[in-house]
Amino acid sequence: MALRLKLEELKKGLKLVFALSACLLAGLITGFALVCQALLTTMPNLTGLATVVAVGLLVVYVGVHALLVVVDSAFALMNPKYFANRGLEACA
Amino acid sequence: MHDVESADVQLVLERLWPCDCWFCRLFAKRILSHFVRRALVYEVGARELRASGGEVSVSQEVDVVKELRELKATSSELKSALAEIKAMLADLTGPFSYYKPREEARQAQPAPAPVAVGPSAAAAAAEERAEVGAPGPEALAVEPRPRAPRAVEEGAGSQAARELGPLAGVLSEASKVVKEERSVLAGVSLKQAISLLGTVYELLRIYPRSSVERMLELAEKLRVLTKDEVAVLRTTLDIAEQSLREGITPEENTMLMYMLLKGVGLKEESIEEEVAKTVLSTLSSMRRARRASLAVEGSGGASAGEGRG
Repeated sequence: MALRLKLEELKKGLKLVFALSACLLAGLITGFALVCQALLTTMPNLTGLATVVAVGLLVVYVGVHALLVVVDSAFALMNPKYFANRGLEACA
Repeated sequence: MHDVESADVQLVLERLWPCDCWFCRLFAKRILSHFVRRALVYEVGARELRASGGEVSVSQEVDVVKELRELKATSSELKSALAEIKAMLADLTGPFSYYKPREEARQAQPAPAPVAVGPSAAAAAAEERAEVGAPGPEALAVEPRPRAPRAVEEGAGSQAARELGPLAGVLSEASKVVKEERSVLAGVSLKQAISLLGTVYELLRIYPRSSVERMLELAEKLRVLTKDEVAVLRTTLDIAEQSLREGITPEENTMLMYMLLKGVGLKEESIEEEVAKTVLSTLSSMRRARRASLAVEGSGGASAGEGRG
């Protein structure tokens, strides 16, 4: 059965996903920089460096996912046939 | 219901955002599900309207409802237009459609002299009438007026004029003209009927009915009068005879006809004029009678006084 939906609502959702994931990515990077600075200031030793690396890996892991979501949602918003290709047809 | 809705939401989410990683499940799909539910509102509403479950899609149902409404509106417009057209056709095919005023008809078609012209000439005139395709003017003048759906005409005329554009405008104008023409014709024929009733009434006072009927037969055989005209005259004779028997005056008959027509809803200025004349003449005759009786009483009183003196 071909589902027909109000595509405007779906577009709004995609826009929100794009904006929030972009904000999350920016926040992650900013937060990582601040955390790195703080950690290296308070613990200027190997422990501090290891913590920074661990946090960095975590941030990268989350950031990669966020980046993928940002890219996917951006492509989805730019593609006019995105919904049609997925069997989502607009209602009248 | 909710299960169906959540299944639909899941289906749409899977198609919209196929990635099933933890981040997308936690972040993107959570946001998108809210919007997908809002987008599916139409489907839920339409599904409730659906009588039996089929494979008809939601938007199609919505379209069908809209189209049905439009069809209903269009059909009502068409009905009103059709009613107007029917009324116009009734007017055009009615007995007064080829009506000519009496004077014009006489000029165009000289009537044969009843005595001097033989039956052959009268027959020729009748044939000529038949060729023209119009009944005789006298017949038209006294034929009963067919009733048309007035309310339908008026209501439909105004509505169609609004909605069907120039065609409806032309139709309503034409129907107005026809209506005016018909009212004029009705006034003429009823006025003539009233005067005919008076004449027949006076004739029956003097002559017996049989002599009048013989004359009518002669006129019919000479084809001076058509069968319809003769039938109208016979009906008038019947009315006048009954009135004479029952002691009803022609004025009372006129008033009776006026009251009946008014009860039906027909108002004609000419008839009202006739009625007003009748009332005035009756009042003046009553006044004359009262004066005469007063004069008689006065003269009687004076002669009695003289006698006493």
